[in-house]
Amino acid sequence: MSTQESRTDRYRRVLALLPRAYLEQRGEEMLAVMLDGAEGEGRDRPSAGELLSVLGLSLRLRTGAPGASPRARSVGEMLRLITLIGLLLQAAAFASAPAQLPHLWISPIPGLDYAANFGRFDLWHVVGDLSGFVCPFLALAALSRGERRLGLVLTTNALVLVSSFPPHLDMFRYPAGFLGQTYAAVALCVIPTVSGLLGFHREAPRVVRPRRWFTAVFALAVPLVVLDSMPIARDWALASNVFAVVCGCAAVGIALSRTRSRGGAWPAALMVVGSPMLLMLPESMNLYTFGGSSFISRLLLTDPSTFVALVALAVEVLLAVALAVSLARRLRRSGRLPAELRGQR
Amino acid sequence: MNSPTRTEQVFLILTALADRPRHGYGIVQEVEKLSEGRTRLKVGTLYGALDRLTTEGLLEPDREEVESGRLRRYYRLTERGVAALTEDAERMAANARAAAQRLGVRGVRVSGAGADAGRPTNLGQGPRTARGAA
Repeated sequence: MSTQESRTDRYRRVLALLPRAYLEQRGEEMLAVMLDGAEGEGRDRPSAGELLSVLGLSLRLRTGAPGASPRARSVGEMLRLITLIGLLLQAAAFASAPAQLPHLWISPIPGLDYAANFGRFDLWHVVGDLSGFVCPFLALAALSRGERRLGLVLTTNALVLVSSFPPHLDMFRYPAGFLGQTYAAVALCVIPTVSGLLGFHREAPRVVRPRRWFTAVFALAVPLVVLDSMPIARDWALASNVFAVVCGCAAVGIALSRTRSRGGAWPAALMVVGSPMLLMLPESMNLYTFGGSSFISRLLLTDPSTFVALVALAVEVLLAVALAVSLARRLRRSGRLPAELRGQR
Repeated sequence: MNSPTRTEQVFLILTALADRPRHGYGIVQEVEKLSEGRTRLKVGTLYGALDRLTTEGLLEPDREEVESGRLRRYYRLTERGVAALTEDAERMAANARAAAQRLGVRGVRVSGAGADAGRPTNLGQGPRTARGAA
């Protein structure tokens, strides 16, 4: 094989990273550009920069850059939705941090002090939890305004927060039920961040109706901050657990009931973000049945938490039933033959 | 609504195609020349930009030729592309004039920014060029 042929083969192998349809359309043209460049610079093989640029183009084309297939555009839209929904839930999940922060300095209300509820007191953890609340707001604002890089930097703050979870990750010390909450929290931090890095590339379209996202994050997080500031939210473990399970059930339920609708990216995104939340169900059940400080004991006492626990349980039951019904409907629909095929039987 | 700000790379690609259609490698070479060697387009960046600009209607394929067994597809600016490049060039020229005028107050002369814009004021230091001041 001549030097020219082997050089051409090397460049073809790099271009093979591109989606097949794009390669068929552009491959020969791009090969000519790369070979001209190689000859001009006296190179026999692709440089690392060329390899990375083709790899980057390949990733962007698979996530909806101009020139991508309709399917790739849907994947890109789904990834961006996962990021935006995930940021929304992150802001809500860390709503306890600003609510309980004043109790670091003001005389703590029994059962409401930060250290008792979060199990950690040092400044870094407090700042970390606060950043978990503030960064999703700022990231949503930046991504909505087209400030892609700033938005992604703020989104990656969630990965820093994951580093504060390890004490709970020892699966030999904790039963599976207790690990559910940690896994759900890790998923809520990692999945939107990774999706954002893949989906919000430089060729990505602008966020549609950005004001709605900003309104949604305020509508969800601000009432939670107020609620968490009230004495009835004293059982932090129960409150956070209920919130996550409710969101997870709702997301998965909507996803299952909407899979036939035309906007395919929404159900998929809701399913990806909502499913990890359901990992918390075993722990939720544990809190209701055996948790000494939770539901059962509250029922027997005259305590505002009883009301919270009852409402939470009612919502979870309602969502679980809705989830089961939507799943049953979907299964029934999938087993039904189309009319034209029924006529042929 | 404001038009989106294009990156320097995209501006240079549009500029490379302003006088005549060029093929991919021709654009790479012209951009390098225009930027005095500062910008060397990689193939992934080039085709990402070409796809986007074509989708936006600023560029269109002109013709295809095969030279030495290599396929060369030429691109040209559309009317919209000419208008977009003109708008960008005017905006950048206005920014450059404003910068040169402000620097003129400090006695710094910016070469190629217009005869009046960079005129130094008498600050007792004499005229300086931006490069000389740096």
